[in-house]
Amino acid sequence: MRIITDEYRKELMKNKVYQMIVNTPKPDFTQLDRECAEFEEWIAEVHNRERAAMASQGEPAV
Amino acid sequence: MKLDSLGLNTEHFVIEHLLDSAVNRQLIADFVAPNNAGGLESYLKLQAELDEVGNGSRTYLIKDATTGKLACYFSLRTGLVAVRREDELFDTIPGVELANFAVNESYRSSGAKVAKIGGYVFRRFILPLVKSVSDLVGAQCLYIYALPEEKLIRYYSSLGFGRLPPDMESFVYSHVKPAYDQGCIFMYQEL
Repeated sequence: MRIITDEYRKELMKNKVYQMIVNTPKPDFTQLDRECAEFEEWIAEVHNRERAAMASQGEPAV
Repeated sequence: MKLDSLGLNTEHFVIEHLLDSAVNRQLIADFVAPNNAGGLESYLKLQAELDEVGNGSRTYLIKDATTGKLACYFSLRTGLVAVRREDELFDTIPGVELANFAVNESYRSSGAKVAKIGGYVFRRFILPLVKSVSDLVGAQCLYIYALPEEKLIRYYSSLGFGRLPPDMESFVYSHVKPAYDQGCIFMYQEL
């Protein structure tokens, strides 16, 4: 197999599409993290209700 | 790398490989995809196991930790993105493709806020799993070919995926997009 030469790498670094993709800032997940926290709070309540219902019917939780 | 060793399970949901559990076949048989996403349901029921055997992709199930219900599934596979050079050739960027991702409609209907489960699964399971993969094999981006629907494009944008300018998108399509993804929109995010 061949390896990338310095010359090739320099050309690659000049490639604007390549640069655009690899230098795209990582996503800001602040909003998504907030929604995940809200979801976890909600699903915890749902699970508590479900466990209580399952226990009252003699079913074990998974 | 064993799935258990990644520590992805949360208090509320667990991740399993497609056929990790004997009950998964029945859960898969009962899976219902959202409207207009019959292909995602067919993939899970008819193709996912074949791709597992052939190493074409890996499919994961996200199950409710309390009830054991199947909440959603997703598939990952390695791939690359083609980028145009000044000559006739092209360069490539290694990545991971989120090839399938669908919430089980019968699970979604169990409560209002469960609509947020897609984002939750993406953030808590898919991203950490993909980052673990990229620690072991080079992968610079996570990408998808989204169905060409505005609502879906907005949804994937909310998960951190972005689009390329049209000419760059066309180049990706003409070099690496599979024929079955015809009409789909390339979206990516940096890892």
